[in-house]
Amino acid sequence: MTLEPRLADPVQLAVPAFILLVLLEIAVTRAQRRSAYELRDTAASLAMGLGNLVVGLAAGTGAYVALNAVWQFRLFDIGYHWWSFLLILFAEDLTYYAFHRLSHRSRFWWAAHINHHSSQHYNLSTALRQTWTGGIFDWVLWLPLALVGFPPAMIVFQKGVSLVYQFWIHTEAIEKLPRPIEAVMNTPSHHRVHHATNPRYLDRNYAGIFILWDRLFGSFVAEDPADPCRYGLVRNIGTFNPLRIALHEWVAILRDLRQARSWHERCVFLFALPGRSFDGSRRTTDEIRAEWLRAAALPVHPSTSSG
Amino acid sequence: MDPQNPVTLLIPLFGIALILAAVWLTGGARRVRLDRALALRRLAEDLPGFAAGEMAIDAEGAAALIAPAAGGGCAIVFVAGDRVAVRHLDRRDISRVVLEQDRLLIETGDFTHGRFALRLPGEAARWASLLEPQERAA
Repeated sequence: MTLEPRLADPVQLAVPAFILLVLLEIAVTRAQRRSAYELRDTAASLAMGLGNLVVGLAAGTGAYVALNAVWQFRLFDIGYHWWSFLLILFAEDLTYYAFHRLSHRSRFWWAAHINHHSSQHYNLSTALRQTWTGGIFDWVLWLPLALVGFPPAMIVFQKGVSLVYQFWIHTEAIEKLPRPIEAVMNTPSHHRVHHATNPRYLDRNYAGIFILWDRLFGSFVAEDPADPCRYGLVRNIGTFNPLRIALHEWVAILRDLRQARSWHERCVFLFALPGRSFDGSRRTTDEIRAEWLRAAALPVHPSTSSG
Repeated sequence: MDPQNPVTLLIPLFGIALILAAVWLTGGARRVRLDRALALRRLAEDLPGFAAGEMAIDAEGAAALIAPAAGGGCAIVFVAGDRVAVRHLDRRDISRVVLEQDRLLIETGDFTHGRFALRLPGEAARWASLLEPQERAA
């Protein structure tokens, strides 16, 4: 099997722009007297980004070989046309939506994705807090695109485009964009919701480029200025060590598996919704939201309602 | 990143150095200091069902221990850079409690933050007895 020649790597091309935009955001937030950046948090995010690039060298090659292998059995010869680039823009983005939703709803996938949510800050450096372990297996979800007939080089290129697009939405410096853009595209406002731990925002807005998928599949929530986003994890980590950030959920899974009493429990600990437990020691995002909704629905006692 | 082209590694490394210098120069090395109000606010956000009782704040403002109003495990609120994090400390989660005069050292199995040191003048011994690991407390 000969591998298709690759297209340019959008991420590699965008690195200088990433650096300049982070510096610009630091200057802007400083001028606004906001504390957007903290030294150790930023260092951890950048170390995660660098590690992701290094791991991506090996994992990316494996993924590319797999895409080429599947492409040998393609159903259609799509080839390189203007319309095929348009088509893959949507097809890859839908794949990303599925991947991202799975990454929040199954603990095995969450273990690789959690580090991206582990900062309590929300700034452009947070975008670079990327996984070290996901690249080993997450490409599996992109194989159907090769089977349909999209050239592997085009798939990898579009994955890069999506990653570059998602960089600039990790900011508080932009509030809301014009309504037609907010309706169709993933924006800083929509993605702030995704990174927030407020019960109303948990596990929402999985979009990569187009927010349309969330609107279509019922996972969209708009940012509410009355409920400002609190960023991070339901149970925030207390470390800036990149290795611990990258591996902590895998370690937690291993500990749970050691204590599991049956295969059912092992499967739940490995694949079920993050936060599932058999002793009530932690809660899933669904349980947190349900609890919050119950509390919000409680009638206010007349004696305590007046000011 | 292209392994054949070292520039593709040098640019991110140079960028990281530049960004960290900019963050440091703009006051990014700050650290939050816990007070009662901040500890209670974060406790309410992170452990909404926890009814706070007595509280002891570390002399450096790096952590706060909070006992529940109605028994059960304690909560600890601790500083992580300019933010804080919260843990529910059940006795079974605690592997070791060491008392060194006014200094209380608590060790848990938490992979991301498993060691807490608090200076609690006049209060350390009482909190140590509250937190004794399960097997020794019995």
